[in-house]
Amino acid sequence: MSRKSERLVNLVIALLATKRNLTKSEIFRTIEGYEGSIESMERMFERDKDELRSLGVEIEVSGLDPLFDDEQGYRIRPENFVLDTKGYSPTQIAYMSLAAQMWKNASLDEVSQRVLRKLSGLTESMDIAEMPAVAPLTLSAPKFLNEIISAIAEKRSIEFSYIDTEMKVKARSVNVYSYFSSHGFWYFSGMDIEKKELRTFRCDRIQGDLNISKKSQAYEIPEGLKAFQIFGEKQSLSRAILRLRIGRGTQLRSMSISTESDNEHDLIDIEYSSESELVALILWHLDDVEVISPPSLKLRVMNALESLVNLHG
Amino acid sequence: MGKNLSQNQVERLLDLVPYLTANSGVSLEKIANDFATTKANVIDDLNTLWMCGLPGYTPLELIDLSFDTGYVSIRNADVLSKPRKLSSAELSAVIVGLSILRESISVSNPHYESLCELITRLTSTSNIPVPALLSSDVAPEIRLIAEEAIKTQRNMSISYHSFNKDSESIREIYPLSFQIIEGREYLESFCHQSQDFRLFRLDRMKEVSLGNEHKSVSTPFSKDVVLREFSIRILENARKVSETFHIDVNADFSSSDIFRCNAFNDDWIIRTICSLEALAIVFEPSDLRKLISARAERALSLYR
Repeated sequence: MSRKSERLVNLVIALLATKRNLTKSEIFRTIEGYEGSIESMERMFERDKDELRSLGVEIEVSGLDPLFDDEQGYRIRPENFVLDTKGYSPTQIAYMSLAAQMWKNASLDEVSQRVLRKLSGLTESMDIAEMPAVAPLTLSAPKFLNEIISAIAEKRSIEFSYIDTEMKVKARSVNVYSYFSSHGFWYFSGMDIEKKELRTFRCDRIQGDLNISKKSQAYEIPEGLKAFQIFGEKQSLSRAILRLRIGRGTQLRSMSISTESDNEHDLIDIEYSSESELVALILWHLDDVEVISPPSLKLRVMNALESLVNLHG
Repeated sequence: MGKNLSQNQVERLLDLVPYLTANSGVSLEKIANDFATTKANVIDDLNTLWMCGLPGYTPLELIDLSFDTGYVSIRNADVLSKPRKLSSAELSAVIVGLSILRESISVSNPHYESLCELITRLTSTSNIPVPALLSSDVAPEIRLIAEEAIKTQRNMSISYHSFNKDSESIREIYPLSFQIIEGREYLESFCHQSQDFRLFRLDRMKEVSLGNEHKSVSTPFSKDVVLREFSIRILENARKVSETFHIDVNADFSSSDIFRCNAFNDDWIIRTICSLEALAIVFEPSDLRKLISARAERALSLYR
């Protein structure tokens, strides 16, 4: 095991140090660890290249031009290998360490450890004051966050099984456009390929595995996607007038644009975007709230109350 | 990804060289700890590195290590002395982390601009996207004050809106820790008004200020809570109902199936069932059914 590691590290050092591409025969002749027949060295080298590439090491190949009969040559360009040639300031390194530390003991623990190790190889970082310990909220990242981010980065579509509103599991395939977190949950949105509609999915409602398509650059991400679009909400606001008991309905009052009062009640004028959410909030407040207008909202609340009475009577 | 890449020795060796270069004189124990491996593995790594270097492999070209004292220093490893580029998974974790960091401080914080700059730099040299939205509903100032209070062991004065009771009150609390429950941020605290440990939602706090130093802290949060048990039937939108009441529902459920649930108080159950617009109904106990029916009836009477 150590012999192989030694050969691979030597290969990386040689390919990084060289100013021109090294041919295979040069590699076999000079790099420690390549032994045996030409065929076995060739096989060894192919495996070594694959292994290094799987570790994210970019090996450049030259001499593929058929017009020239040159032997293929290999090298690793430092700019493709090192963290950043331009360098980061001590404060920036501290920010990145802090960002990576946030995932400690969370779902991205292992990734976080690797980042911290790499950053510790840079010059000393600084202690930063006035930086709050972070909202623990977003730290419960779903297990697919990384896959979703890389699907967006490489514009690959993804396939997964999703639990619908009636708990049925359906296969979905989606071109992912964006990801976000709200109220402690992670979501992503994109084009549902079958339904041909913009849809938003909550990561924890995925059942089983998530497959990323092999084809990259498979779609374009539309410009200027707004948060309200990814939530699938109407952009336009509707108005409603509610009558609230004095001192009640704090949450509803926070949505009001004007208030009129008599002795026992306040009449408030509110703006809302989602009728379902408003209905839920009105029903939550029971007899402390009465809908005055619009009639459609009033009817929906009345119908719900009637069913509640009938179903529980 | 699949395989546990952190177990790969080559990867560890490539990360070890810049680490040793920057941290000359580091102990074997600390290396093992930082690389989440054993001391024996570290020694094996160092013995392997010892044999590495530029072609020629004479003492002039080999990496020079000393570690027989238990403290490690490295020389002649210039080619590998800089840390490797972050993989896209690593960069994603950093970019999302930085975005959360930026979101949790206010725009006036001196770090805000520099964080924006760094995020822009990292995203422009990769195609890793930043999150489109990170809403936490908690004002950064409130979180800052709460943190300060925990750190310096001081009381906090908060005006708090209780959604369950639909009332607002001013309370003096002694915060102990942040808690995350079902995606919401809470401050676990001792409430001086109720002389008891309580959980306060950060997004429902208004007008927060730091108070005096608090002398002693009694026992941690361990009050026995009596839960109200009840059962429901689901008529529609089973996913929403199951997520609201935290129950497991199979795909082949029917509306006659009965699901057991529990909650802290009747008021919450009644309001929650009502706000679900009759997607679910309470089956048992019958006193709770009657309460719901009566409360809904009373609300309905506003329209008659």
